[in-house]
Amino acid sequence: MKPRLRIGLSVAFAAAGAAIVIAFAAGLAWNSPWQPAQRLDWDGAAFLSVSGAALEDAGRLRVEGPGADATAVQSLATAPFEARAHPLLRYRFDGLPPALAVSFAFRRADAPDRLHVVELPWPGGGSGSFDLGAIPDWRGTIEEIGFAEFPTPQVMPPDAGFAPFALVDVQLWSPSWRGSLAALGSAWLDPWPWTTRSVHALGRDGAHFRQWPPTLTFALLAALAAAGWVVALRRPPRRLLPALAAALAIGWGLLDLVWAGGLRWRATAARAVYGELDLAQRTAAVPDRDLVEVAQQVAWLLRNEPDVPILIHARSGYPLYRLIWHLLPRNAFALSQAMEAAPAIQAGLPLFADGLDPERPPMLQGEVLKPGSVLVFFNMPQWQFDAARGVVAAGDVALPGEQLLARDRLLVVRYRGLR
Amino acid sequence: MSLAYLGAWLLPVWAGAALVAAWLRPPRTAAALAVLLGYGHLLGLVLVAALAPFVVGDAVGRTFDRVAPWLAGIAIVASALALVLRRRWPGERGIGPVAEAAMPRWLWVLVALVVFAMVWRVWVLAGEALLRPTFPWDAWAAWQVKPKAWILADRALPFVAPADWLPATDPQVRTLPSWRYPDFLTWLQLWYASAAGGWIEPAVNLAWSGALAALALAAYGQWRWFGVPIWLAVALDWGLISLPLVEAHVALAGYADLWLMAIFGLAVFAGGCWARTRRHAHGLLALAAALCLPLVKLEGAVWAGVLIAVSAWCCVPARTRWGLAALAAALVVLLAVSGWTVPVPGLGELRLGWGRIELGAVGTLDLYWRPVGEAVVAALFHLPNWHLLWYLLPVLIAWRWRRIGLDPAAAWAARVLGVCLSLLFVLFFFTDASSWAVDYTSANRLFMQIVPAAFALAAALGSGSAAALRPEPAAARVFQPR
Repeated sequence: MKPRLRIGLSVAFAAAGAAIVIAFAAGLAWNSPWQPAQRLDWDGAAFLSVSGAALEDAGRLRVEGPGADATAVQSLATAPFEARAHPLLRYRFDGLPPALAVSFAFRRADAPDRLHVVELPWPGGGSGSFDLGAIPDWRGTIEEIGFAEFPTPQVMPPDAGFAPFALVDVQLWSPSWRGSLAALGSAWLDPWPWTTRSVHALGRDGAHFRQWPPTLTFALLAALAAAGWVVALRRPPRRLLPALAAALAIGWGLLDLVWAGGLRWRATAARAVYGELDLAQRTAAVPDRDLVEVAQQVAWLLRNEPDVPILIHARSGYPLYRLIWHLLPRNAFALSQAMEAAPAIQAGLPLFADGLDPERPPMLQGEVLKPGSVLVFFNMPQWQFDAARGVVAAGDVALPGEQLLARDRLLVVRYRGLR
Repeated sequence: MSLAYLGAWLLPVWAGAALVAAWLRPPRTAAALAVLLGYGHLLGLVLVAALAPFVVGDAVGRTFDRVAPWLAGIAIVASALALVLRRRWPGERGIGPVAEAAMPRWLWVLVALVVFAMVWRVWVLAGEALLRPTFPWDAWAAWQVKPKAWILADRALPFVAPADWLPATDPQVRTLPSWRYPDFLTWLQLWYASAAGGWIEPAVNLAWSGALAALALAAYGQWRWFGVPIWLAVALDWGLISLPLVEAHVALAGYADLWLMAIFGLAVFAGGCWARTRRHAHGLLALAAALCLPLVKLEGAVWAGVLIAVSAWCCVPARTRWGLAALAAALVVLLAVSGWTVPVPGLGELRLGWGRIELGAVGTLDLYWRPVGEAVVAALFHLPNWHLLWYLLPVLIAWRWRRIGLDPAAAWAARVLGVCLSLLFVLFFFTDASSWAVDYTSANRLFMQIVPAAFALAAALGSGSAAALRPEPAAARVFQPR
């Protein structure tokens, strides 16, 4: 075979192989057409602002301000359509601030009371694509769709980072190669915000994405490129490994370009929120202002007792540890962990220890908590103060005490001791 | 930026670099300067944490004021010592890049671009750290609780176990779940916070960017020192700091893992240089860095043990190695059968049993197979934590396999990496820590801590010709990689 022909064929095979890998990565339906056979198309102005201030602007819906909970919501009651026939969502925004996350919501005809919500890739170039086919709930007949934009949870302060933007248009496509490739582009290239998981594992929540991860795809492409190079240029097989190493290094560089773009986007989002503040103000500009207020109430209540033990009970770890953090340098700890640490009681309440412990003379025998300690229940409606009995109780468990404060989701009780 | 805050950045570098300079007596080369700055910064901060408990007392809000004069004194004395020692006993120049051809102009341009990209990347990450309050979970739930409490209370409140806190009569006693963590990070954060004028989180969190920059400098300097061509040293450095999970730990500062990784890096890079050049100064520098590991986090004791054990193994003549291995195996069997306990520095008492390990700081580990392969593969190969590191490394090893047998640095790094990965394999596949892999919490962070060993191996595999890297005969008698 002539060298030129061999090189040409090798390049053609490698390119075809790469196309096949990309097609698999995108989750292409092989029998679908290049262009979608059906499209549902709505202007942004067709959507109704459910939360937040918005007005129609030349076919777009211009969102001027957020509504309750710093969230803007737009909704559209559509003519019923079949979900599985339109799995590809295309959405276009203009001027969407990077500090806001975007969710897509829909309601099915068979369960009109239930709203399904899907987190979308932030539309990097203004528009984004998402393959709803990976969402198990995207089935049956859809009768309402909508979008919500809100400060990224646990990352951005709720009252910062908003700027007016416009919902330009929305489309739902039937399966097509073009749609799948567009969704692949969004999944790989559109940025995603930091989350509390980011120090453990990076990337989007894979459960909602059917595309292959770019790492795996790039590794396969690198292998194809290396094999193609060896065959095309008739290199000895021992050159395959260095060629593969070089191809992987190039793939590494390309992945890093995408990652660097995401870094810049996240820095832009953070600058939009914190850029105008000095360092001390940034320290105070936390995303959980509600918990700061709760901590401030507790701190004010105990302003004359800086070292009194405060035991906090909350529904989940986030508010629990954040309250401890905001109460520092006060003497706060988790009530449930204090119970687990108590030698005679392995988990939970009640608070009686077995037997006598001569090593602990300052406390009443059998007592686990120190009388005079302050118990803080946050968003724990099952814990109620019973003034008649003089206890704070949940079910069968009761702790003697006196109520110091009960406001909204906060209940503060001074533990009186068991005797 | 206040003068004190600037001093908090410069003083540890000066003191640490002066001490390293006095120890290594390096030549005036760019690589040596990188080693001094990188090692100096991190070891200088270790020095801060070592001095602080003795000189600060209860005035934690004045940590900088109290420690800075001592540090300055050490810096001045060490600088003078370095000058004198270097003049009288100049250190060796290190081995130049083996068979390094003159680089073409395009490669110089590429190297310059990569260096610029690295500087820009650290700048972006530092900017991000400076923008935000403390963000990630364990930072505000564990690692920054103590320094924040101390500086806000302006006294070194004692932190004890929850079980001891419950009956405590001293009203100042505090507790938190991670009460037993070492105080290195506490003092380090107090150092920067007190210099910044209070608990100002961006000013504290910027320290993590310094750790990354120091690690990159230390790596570059050591690699150049033991003969890695400049283009490869820069490329590997870029690879090291471009790892997304590492960058996440810099931008979202507050965890200890980056510090552990950085100090582990100091140890493996100096260890690699020692293995190849046989210079005791580098070996002892590696040992000093390894001994600092338990000061950062409890698992640092394990990594320090690995580094020391592998180094000892490499020093033992080949014919006695297997005898020692058999002796160690017999000891393990004896411990398991007898039920004796042995103290493990930093980790408490160790007791072995059939299918069970009891370790003071860790608790009881029941050993049996856990099917978490899918989660581990996803963490290493699918998620964007590592770019293509874990794809590229096996290819590199397969390609340069013979080098491991010929180059002591490659053999040493391969053993360190192999033992560390084996320990992680046992941890994730045979203990309850498998849940960390399944829920993607600690698994990647533990891999991150040992990632410098992968780069040390890559540097050794990628540099020089095998023939030129044979250890000199005197060293070869002792150091036999096979």
